[in-house]
Amino acid sequence: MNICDGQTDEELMVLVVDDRAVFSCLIERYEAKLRRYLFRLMPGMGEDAEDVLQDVFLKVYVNARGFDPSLSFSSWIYRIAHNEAVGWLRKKKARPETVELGDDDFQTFVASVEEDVYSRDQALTQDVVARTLGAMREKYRTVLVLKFLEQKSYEEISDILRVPMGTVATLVHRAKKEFTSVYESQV
Amino acid sequence: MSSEHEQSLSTRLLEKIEGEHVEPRPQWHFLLHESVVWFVVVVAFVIGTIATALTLYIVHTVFSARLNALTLDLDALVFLVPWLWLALTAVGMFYALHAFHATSRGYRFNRHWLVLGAIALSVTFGGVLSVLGFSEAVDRFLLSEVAMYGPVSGYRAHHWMNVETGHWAGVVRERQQEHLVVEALDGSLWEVQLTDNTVVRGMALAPDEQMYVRVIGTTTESGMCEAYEIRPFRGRGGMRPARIEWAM
Repeated sequence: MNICDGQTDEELMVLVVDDRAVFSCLIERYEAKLRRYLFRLMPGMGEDAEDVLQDVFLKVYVNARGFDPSLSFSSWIYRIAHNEAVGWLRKKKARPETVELGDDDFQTFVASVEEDVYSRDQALTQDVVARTLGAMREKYRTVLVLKFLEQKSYEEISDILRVPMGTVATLVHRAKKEFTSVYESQV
Repeated sequence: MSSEHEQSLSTRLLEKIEGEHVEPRPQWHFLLHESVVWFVVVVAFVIGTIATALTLYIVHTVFSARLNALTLDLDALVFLVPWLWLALTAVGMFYALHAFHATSRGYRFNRHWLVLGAIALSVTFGGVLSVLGFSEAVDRFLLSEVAMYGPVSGYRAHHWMNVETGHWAGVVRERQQEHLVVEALDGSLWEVQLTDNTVVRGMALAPDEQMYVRVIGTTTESGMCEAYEIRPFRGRGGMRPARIEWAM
């Protein structure tokens, strides 16, 4: 039986400082999720995204004692990943032209925004949606990725982006409008 | 991604942590950081509240007579508003809110409500400080000890020494039954008539070289006026003459 079985992320995080091996459990739990998230924020930058992913886990380890167990570990690590990715993009002055979108992601996303976009009588295609997301401003792209691709709740997005929940709702609303506007200019 | 790759990242990271002796930062580092942030919140808020207290106090004492005399004009508004304290209030509250947002959970609060809350709290605490006499004590101390404070704190004597608008400022030299002799800031002597309707606020009408007074009234003839209201120059009076800014 694995030492991490039955333990929540938050409970494991408390143990990490005394037992390095426990950290590998958290890495295994979040590696795939964070890689997917970083690839969405940094499309076409595979190797760099891998480096950022490694930095994210190192930051988690170094700041383990700063984690507040009463808060969600998932939101905390996503916040670190978000900050690292955005910081990297700004440092390199890189701007993604598209967003990695799998078939399932595309279907989920379309189902979420169809009310806003289908009224224009235009079918969404996977390629155009990916390019539309890539062409959006970073803060709005991030919100749509977190809400509709990562399926995060408003509370989780609030903790990841460090903004009030009411602001998250406003950002989602504005992001949808920007998506529609950019989409129309793309087709 | 394959499980082999996932394992390799885990292994790679643990080897790096071990090889480079990477250690979690000590607890005190985070406690210190949070403490510093809260310290900034408290200090900035206290400064903002003190500034609010001074603003309320000066606005109240400076403008109440003006409003009563219905002579408030744009010039008075611009020059008599205590911009220094208003600016310090704004700066204090800005940093208090900015630092609060940086606390571990401060970001969860709506900024508009935080701003409104900060204003409400600073006005409440500032009002209490004013009522307790704190604002007046600070104001008097700064007026007597800091030469530049008067001109930048809404303390413009020439607004209160303007015969055309019915304002005199000076010290009481003599007290008779129905009039006072006031030596105005420009050195001229005025006989100030007291009537049953004259309102005297917050002071005893007795000769006192240290007690600067403001008189609001109307000129009756050369060197004489009828007083509607007499009050200390600011607060309970007692300004040092040397600190009165008397520049037209």
